[in-house]
Amino acid sequence: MNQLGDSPSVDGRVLGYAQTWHRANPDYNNRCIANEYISGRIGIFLGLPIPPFAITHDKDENVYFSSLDFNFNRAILPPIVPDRCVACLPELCTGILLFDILIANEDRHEANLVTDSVSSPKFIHVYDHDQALLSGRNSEGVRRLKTLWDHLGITGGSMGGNRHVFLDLLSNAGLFSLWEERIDSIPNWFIDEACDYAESELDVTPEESKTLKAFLKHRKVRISDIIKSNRDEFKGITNWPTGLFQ
Amino acid sequence: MTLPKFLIAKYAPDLRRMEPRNFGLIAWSPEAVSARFLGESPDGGIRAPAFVHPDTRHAYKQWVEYWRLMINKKSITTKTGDEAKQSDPRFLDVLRSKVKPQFFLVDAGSLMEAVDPQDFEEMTDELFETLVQDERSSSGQDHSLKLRAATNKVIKRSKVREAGDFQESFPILCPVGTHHKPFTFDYAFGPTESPKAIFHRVLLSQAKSLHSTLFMFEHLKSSNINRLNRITRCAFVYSADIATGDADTANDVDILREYAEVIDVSNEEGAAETVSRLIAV
Repeated sequence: MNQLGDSPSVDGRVLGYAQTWHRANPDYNNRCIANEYISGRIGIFLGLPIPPFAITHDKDENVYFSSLDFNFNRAILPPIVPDRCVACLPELCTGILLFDILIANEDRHEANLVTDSVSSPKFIHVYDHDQALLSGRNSEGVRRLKTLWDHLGITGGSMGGNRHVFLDLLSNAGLFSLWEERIDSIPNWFIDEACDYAESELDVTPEESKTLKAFLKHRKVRISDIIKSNRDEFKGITNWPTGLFQ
Repeated sequence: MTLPKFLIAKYAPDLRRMEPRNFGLIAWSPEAVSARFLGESPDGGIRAPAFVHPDTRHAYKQWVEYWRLMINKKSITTKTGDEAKQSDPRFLDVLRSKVKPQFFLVDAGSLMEAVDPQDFEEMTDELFETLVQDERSSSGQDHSLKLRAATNKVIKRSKVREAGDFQESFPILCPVGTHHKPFTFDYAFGPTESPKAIFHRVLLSQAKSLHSTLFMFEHLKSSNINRLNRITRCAFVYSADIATGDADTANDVDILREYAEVIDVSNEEGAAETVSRLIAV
């Protein structure tokens, strides 16, 4: 939306400005920008509705994760109603769940997703990945990844956080394969590139970068095994498809 | 014994000024939960009250819908997964923990005595009327005064009074079923027995105002006076009432256009020109 209110010129162009959320590393999470950046790139690759973003700098060269504010009129919308999302958008909810498993996001609750309609959602905006991957303090990032290596990483278990908002609600494991294929198809070069950028520009250490690459490459090909060994956590699924998850 | 408790839903148009308005009430007892919100219609529709900024009317509807869905659940959970059953006194606390700055719930206390479950809805109505609706009445009056003031400016600017044959509160006998009922329109121009044009103010933000105007215009079409002399029907509206992207209101305006020339008095000059043109006809 062009917030200046101008009409496009004859060639269809018009200059406008859109509101953006800028996120710096807070004291309690000095890997916030890196987590947002790598997770955001992967999420967009998978086709999830993550708002467009960029890494930006202010005049003092401070770094920000800058994400387009999809809420143009700045109205403050309510949290999602998880069961309505799962009922209306089961595929997308499955995608969000598997994406969060991939990045070990233990902070997916009803207030960091937004829908157009709480009762009959037609789309969901996905944002807020600062607690995924390396999570908080740099000294804990590598330890976290190693601890969660073959865990779901979304249960709010050993490393804290919240139980995933869709984990107990999804009931159709048949929808998992679509997202597993997408996750499996993430190229290694894509992961390397995102982690290398985080290392060179976003204060990620070489050890963290190396561990991140190994963590993501391991999980993308092993995601169905990770799910399979944690089937009991999917409380809404009673019928698992034969083959993949047996 | 757990006494009934209740929350007031508030809306803060400007977070810096923080002057919240009451717009709803949620009442709770171990046996029942009930709620009332401004703008709810019996068919389930929700129309945000006039004091809600046009840009936040969609959000208003979403919050009302959200709280309706929440209070109908058998249990709700906090962000960290703690569950509170509907009969649990913590139910309202959990509900309150899910608010955001612009739309929020405040603890409004509890009743001094238990209420019979069959009287619960009536009690909710009473509380809603006392704590929420009274405030709305004054806001509706403010809005009506604003429309009236803007309309007066337009009439003055159009010099319609100076043209003569201009009357206020003009009654026309219209057929309603097998009866005839005098409907009083705000203004009329032309001879008393055969006016050329009638004008009526419509508060778009209030369904009642819109619906009664549509009803009057519809029946005016079949009045004797209209058959003798086709009357130009005009509706004065204040466009600031129209929420951007509010499909319901936009649709209502479209319906109104089928019955009358819609004149937006927030554009004083344009509206005055339209009135001058119409009375010239």
